[in-house]
Amino acid sequence: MNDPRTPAPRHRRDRNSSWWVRVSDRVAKQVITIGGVGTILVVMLVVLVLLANVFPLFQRNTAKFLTSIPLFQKLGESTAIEERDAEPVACGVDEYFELVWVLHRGSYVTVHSIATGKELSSHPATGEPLGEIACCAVADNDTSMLAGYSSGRVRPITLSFQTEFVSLADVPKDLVLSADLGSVVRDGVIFRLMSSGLVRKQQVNDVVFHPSISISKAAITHVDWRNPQAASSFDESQSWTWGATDGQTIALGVINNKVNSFSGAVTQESTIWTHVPLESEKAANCIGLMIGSRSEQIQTLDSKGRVVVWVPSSDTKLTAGYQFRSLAGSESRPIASAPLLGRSTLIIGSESGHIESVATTAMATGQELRSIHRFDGENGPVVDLAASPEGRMVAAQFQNGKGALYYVPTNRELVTWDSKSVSDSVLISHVAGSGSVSANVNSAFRSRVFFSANAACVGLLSENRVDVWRLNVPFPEASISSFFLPVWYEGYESPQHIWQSSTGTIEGEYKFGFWPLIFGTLKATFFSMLIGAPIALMAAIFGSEFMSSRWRARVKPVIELMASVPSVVLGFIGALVLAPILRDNLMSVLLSVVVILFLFVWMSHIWLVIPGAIAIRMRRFRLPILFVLIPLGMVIAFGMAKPLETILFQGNLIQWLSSKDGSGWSGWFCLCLLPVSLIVAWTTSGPLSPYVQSIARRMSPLRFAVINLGLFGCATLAVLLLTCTVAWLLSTLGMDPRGSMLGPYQERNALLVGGILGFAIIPLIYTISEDALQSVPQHLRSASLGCGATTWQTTIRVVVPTAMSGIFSALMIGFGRAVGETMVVLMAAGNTPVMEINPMNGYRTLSATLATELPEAARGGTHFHALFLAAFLLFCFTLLANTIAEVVRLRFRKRAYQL
Amino acid sequence: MPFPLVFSRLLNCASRGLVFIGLLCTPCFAQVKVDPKLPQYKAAAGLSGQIKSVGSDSMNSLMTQWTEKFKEYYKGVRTEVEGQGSSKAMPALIEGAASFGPMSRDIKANEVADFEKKFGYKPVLLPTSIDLLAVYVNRDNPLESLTMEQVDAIFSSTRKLGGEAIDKWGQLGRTGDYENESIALFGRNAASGTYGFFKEKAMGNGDFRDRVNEQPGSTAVIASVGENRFAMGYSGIGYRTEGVKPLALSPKKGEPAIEPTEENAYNGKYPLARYLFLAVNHKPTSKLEPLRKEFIKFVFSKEGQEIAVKDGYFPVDAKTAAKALKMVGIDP
Repeated sequence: MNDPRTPAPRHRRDRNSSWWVRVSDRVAKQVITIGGVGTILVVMLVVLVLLANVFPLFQRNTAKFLTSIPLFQKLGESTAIEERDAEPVACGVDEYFELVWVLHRGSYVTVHSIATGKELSSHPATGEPLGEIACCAVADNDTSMLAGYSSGRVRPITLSFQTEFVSLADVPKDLVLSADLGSVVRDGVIFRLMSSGLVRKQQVNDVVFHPSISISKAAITHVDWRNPQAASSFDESQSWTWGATDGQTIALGVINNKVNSFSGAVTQESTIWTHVPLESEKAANCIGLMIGSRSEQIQTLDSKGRVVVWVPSSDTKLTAGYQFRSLAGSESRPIASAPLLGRSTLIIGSESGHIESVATTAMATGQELRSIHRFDGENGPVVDLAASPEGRMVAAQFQNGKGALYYVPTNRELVTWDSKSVSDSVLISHVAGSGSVSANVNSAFRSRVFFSANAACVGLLSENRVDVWRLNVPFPEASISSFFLPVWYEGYESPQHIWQSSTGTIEGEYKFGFWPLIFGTLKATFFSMLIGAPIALMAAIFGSEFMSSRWRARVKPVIELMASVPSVVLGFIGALVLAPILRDNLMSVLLSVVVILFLFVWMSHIWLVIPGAIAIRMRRFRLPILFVLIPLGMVIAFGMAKPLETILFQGNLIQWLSSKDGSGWSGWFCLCLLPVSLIVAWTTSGPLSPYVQSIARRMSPLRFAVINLGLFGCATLAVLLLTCTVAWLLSTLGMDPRGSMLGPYQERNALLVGGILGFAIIPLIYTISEDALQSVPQHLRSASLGCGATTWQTTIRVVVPTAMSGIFSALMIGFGRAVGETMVVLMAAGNTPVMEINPMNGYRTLSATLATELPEAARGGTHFHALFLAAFLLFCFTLLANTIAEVVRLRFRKRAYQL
Repeated sequence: MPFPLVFSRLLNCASRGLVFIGLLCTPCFAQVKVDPKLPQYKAAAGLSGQIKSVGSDSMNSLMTQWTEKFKEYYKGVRTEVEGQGSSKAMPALIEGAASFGPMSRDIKANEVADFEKKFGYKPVLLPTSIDLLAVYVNRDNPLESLTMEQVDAIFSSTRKLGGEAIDKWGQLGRTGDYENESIALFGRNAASGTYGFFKEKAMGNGDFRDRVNEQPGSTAVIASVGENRFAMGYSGIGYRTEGVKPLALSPKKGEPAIEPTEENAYNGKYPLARYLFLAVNHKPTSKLEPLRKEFIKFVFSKEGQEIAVKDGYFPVDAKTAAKALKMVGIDP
């Protein structure tokens, strides 16, 4: 035969062939070429589609300066008091990015148009006069806030934006609107023509100053305010939670706004818990507050960097719970703090420019605070921090004018901007315009950084204007490190690989660690190949070399028929029928495997004892006997299971697996049994075999068979003793297989799916490798048998090596099936994204993740694109496996051809 | 177990599996009455066209039954219902590929933003019926109730509600053969609205433990719990079967446990209740075309709500229905 690499010599076409043959030849050639090239193109296209969906994840983030809105201009006639009153305390932007509202120190709200920079309306405080506002906290949706007054009181303020859509005909006639023109302001109302042809009217309808609550006599220094929470999904009742401090006194309050479902009237019900320290207890000043995620607690940060959790203990008192000293306290001085989205992490910015996150962590007993992330700043002291309302991002403003946006879980700086360059240019233009702007009205003024309600923009509130940058950060969660390196998530004790791609609300933390999925895919493949491949290969060898051709012709189609069982059916049977059986009979099933294997080998030794003449006549019963052995082995195993379980596993294997009681000896014994018996079998057949053969030559076959049987008995004993010794050694060394190799039993586990998936890949491997074995030229077998080799020797030494390339392809096709298999694992593997080698636990594969999550992933989101990355990884896996398979196969084939 | 018993056990399990599938079709929760003030549906004349719905898979059967019944009124109407997941609803509405988007969870901010980018106004979400999520145990399990802290301690790894992790039935005060058995946990897969809702409401946005087996459908969760004495799982009340028992939940330690019943759904006491929504693209100031208008009127009629009840959900009351109709400019 020719070397496969040299192409067959081309013959000139025979001129005598008819035109029909020539035409069809030409057509066939074209069709095949087009088909082949097309296939390659389609595969390339698939890769391109995958890559096109993966690449956006790693695009550059930007922050573009958008606009600057002047707030206050010092005019000649304004007094110092007016100036002070006009100082901005807090601001917010509406969701359509049409207007900015600003709360001023003098307790009034002004509304400005973003497009024109003009003031639209002013809303003075109503109700009792409370003096000037000292501090303010704005809700994430920018429509409500809590103001802390210097008179020691706090007061919630709510804004209502009115958004209305009208048709173009209903707009005042003299108002010119066009799509390019953008927004037009008329009488405090912003009009904008939408692409749908409607006109959107946007205005601040009303600013309500709610009744105030008294906290202390001193001025309030810090407040916190949560987004109003719906008290129930089925009516409009809301509950508001607030926190306030004057530096020493700490207060947490809840205001329930009950809406009467008939009259629509609102009744407010207020509860307050406070902590007023005694003179002796007075500690460092409290400089930051964070209400807990369920309003059940409040955390305080003091000027020494200590974070304390306060919990309502009685009707009116707060008591200190666990506490933590942040790095900001020990190394520097904390300056600003902000609650990260989800309100379990407090972000602290320090004078040294470091930003740190302190998160509540679930420990084995109760909870504690941990410092889990840290950003090193080179920009000098932090001025202010703000947390994004839409992701775990935090924006920081530094004293040198730099601003930066960080994604906290992965310690990543997303984008930076420079407010200095903007402010200078804006200032110059203002100076040129009015000629009387003072750059620094009050040197004590601290700039504030804030997010717009939909986190599309970040703004900086300075003394006399608001600067706004538009953020383009589409995939903050995505980075190579968040996908493939351990990440320290909120609530965990250490950085980990976790996949939890879906969160109930935006407040959940997305976790895109790919390793659990990759590990799951490999685990699925490993266990199914471990169970399926040996069975299929041995079956193929038996079928090809030992079975009569009549039987083979019957058995092969039956096995191929197994492949036609839909995998969803296999998965269903596995999950709902086999899983409970395995759970209730785990010991028996595991024992059956050992007992049946032992019986097979034992029977083959017994067979030798039967006198030759009878043995030849009984030949045709060999297969039926094997069939009888399987149920026999199961009966024995089921009989032995209970006593063995009592001896080895304190009566219950599953409970033994999940507990830590008892010794790990029995676990090691089970794990080591198979490897040790393989080693012993190899020693007896390998190094010992020439010696045994030399004895055998001098004996009658029967006598040798008896001795051989004895030898087998000895080997069995040796295996048991050796396994016991190894297990004893390992357990005396203090190792316990539970926790590493083994672990708690889950009903949906790798062993179960390995069995089912093994069943699915057996027909594939069987058919292809059987075909490969069958295609080994008969003359090789004849030659081997003619030289006196037994059938077994011929098979192992001649046939199998020759057919190796085919067998290897069979294995690789089985491997590919196991890697890509979706339905079986989806139904039966439990889909728990864990990274445990424990065969008693489940796993989640890449393919199952794609199947379940792709339909639900919001298009264009990080999750959506991350799933494409998963698909690409899966593609790479199969590509890699196939390439290796092809290379190895070609090498084998080359060798086979040389025969 | 002696060997021959295994086969009888196998048969037994197989038959039980079939029973589960059978029970799926007959949820045993049909005693709920719809609000008598809801209007009777009156068919309009000469309606034809196509209704296409793309969205939540939990609402798939509900949507199918609504459209089937709707077709009985109008011969000329064709319908198509796709239930791939709540997240499919918005893209389909935005692309104009669907007239309705059933969603079993609240709409997300970025979905609203995408919709607004295309149309300039917000999508309308009509609350069509109420679903309760229940925590189920096997019917042989003597446990009757849990506190929400316990639910969190059982299902969550981050335990945002505080407390110590609960692994074994003994920690829930069970004795006998339950005491040393660990709790086998079953839940929905990460992409479903049910998973997200449970995560938010029962676990305070914490994380699921990696021990929670994720099942591809609500039926699979119930089947797994019904089959294992030591199992616990969560799923919609509509999927309840004879094999499982929903637990009463108390919002806080010391407070009385609330049964997942109709009454407790309405008064808001039961902590795991949610609306099932129908997202509609309704241009403000305009009138809906007759086909969509009639379908929405049908959903909020007595007939439509009776179908929701038949499917195991709770109906909305007449007031909510009227409010919903008003949201899309239909005068009741």
